[in-house]
Amino acid sequence: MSSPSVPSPEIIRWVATHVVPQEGAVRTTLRRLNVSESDADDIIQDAYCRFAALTCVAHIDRPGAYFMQTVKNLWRDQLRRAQIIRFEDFTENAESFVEPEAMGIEAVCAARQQLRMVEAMLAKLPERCRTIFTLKRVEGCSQKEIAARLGVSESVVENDVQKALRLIQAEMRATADATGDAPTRENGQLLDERGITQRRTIALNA
Amino acid sequence: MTKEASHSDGPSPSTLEGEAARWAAALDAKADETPEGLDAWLAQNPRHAGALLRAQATLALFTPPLQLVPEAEPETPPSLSQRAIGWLTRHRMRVASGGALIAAGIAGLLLYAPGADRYATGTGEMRQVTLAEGSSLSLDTQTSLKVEMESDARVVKLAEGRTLLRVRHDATRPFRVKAGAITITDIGTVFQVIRRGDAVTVLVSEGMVEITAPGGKLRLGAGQTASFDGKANLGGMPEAQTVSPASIERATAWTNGRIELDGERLDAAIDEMNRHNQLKITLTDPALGAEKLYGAFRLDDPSGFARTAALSVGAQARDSGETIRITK
Repeated sequence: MSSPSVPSPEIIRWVATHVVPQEGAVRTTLRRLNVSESDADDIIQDAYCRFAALTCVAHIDRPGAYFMQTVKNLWRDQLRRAQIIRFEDFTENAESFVEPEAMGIEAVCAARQQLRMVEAMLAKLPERCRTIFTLKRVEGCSQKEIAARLGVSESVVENDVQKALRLIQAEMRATADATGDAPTRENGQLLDERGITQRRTIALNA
Repeated sequence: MTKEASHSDGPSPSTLEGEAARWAAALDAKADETPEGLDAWLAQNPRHAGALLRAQATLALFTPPLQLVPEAEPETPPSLSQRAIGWLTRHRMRVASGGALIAAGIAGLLLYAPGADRYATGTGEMRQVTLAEGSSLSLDTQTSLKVEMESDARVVKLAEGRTLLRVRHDATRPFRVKAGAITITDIGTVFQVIRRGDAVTVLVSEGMVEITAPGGKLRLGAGQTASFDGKANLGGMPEAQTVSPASIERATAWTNGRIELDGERLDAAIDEMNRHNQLKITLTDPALGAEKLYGAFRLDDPSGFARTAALSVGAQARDSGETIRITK
């Protein structure tokens, strides 16, 4: 009773659609705020833990913003614990957390971003992993069906799925925002990035 | 890469990803079975649940896109069963409250006073009351109030608890909620009043209300809230606070049988759950009470709540049958 369980298909789908494709943008934002890579890893891991604890996602009507908001809160909590900044500094810096939905193209944007990400990831996989993932994606084959098609054992397929997943997740961690408006300098001053924040709508404290 | 080595606590991100990838691949191989050892791994570190979710969601990117983004396909009508589930979810409250309404009718007869009806809910009970003139009230658990219909005014006297009011506007018969020393006069609106002892909180989601308190008058519009502390505000008046639509939705989630949290404290959330359930949750370590919680939970599922809450604050939930203890 006290142990956590495997997330529901609904939560997994929701995270796949709205969270995973945003990871690059979130990492870019954290980097712009001079958050170290390992702190960013911690914050993002904690955000996924929060999502794993959700029992229902139907009430979250702006999922991309929810991810950003969760990360923003976690970062704020971390800063509070560390007591290294005044709250006003946070409020000002938090402006770089942008809400993709505010542009009104959330669904289209999420789907397109996801497609682009999937294609980029597929291209980088070893050949058999790519074949397996393409069969999954295009034809909706199960691991068992893929094994039969490729004439290999099911454990070979499972191993390849595992390997591919590891590679893709490491790649996600290494890749910052793939949407193209990432700043060129890693440690640029926030004020210098105003051009970017102004073009998008700014997420203030909800 | 040297940064990864200095990672604060727990396994490095790549180790965690590798382990999570193994479980996600195993779950993908046999969807109906929980692989042996998975539960133990999940229980080992609170981060494991998040890592597994990330791996499974990443894998879900490689499933046919139609399954993944149902909301991007508006031309596909929902299946009959989906619609049936939606209908059931929407109407369960109403069906349940139908029985409560009959009970309330009997209670009303027993406690009958001219022009007045009394409504009270017990632990875990919620009630929907529709008044003859068209306004409706949702009563949260452990709420007690009296409705007085007069020719020139409609008055709800809130003795304790929380109620959400959808008021039908009638300029000739103003609608008032009296909560101790505070009177809220509706100007055609949806608003919520919480009374805990002498402390009263008013939240307006549509329209406008006027509040009269010992310290003066205050108008609240849609998206505003004000809290009156019974003792501190005898002289002064609180300021109206503006809240976001999302916060209003969270604050009124109880009307759908849910509690929605966005960084609220664990102890406050436990108080809320305990108001709704006979099975009580206790915190063994008071320091845990300040931990923040996120997510939506069913109000009638204390064990589910305790389990996920404990997980997200890095603690454990122990269910002894009579109480559930959250402990480090």
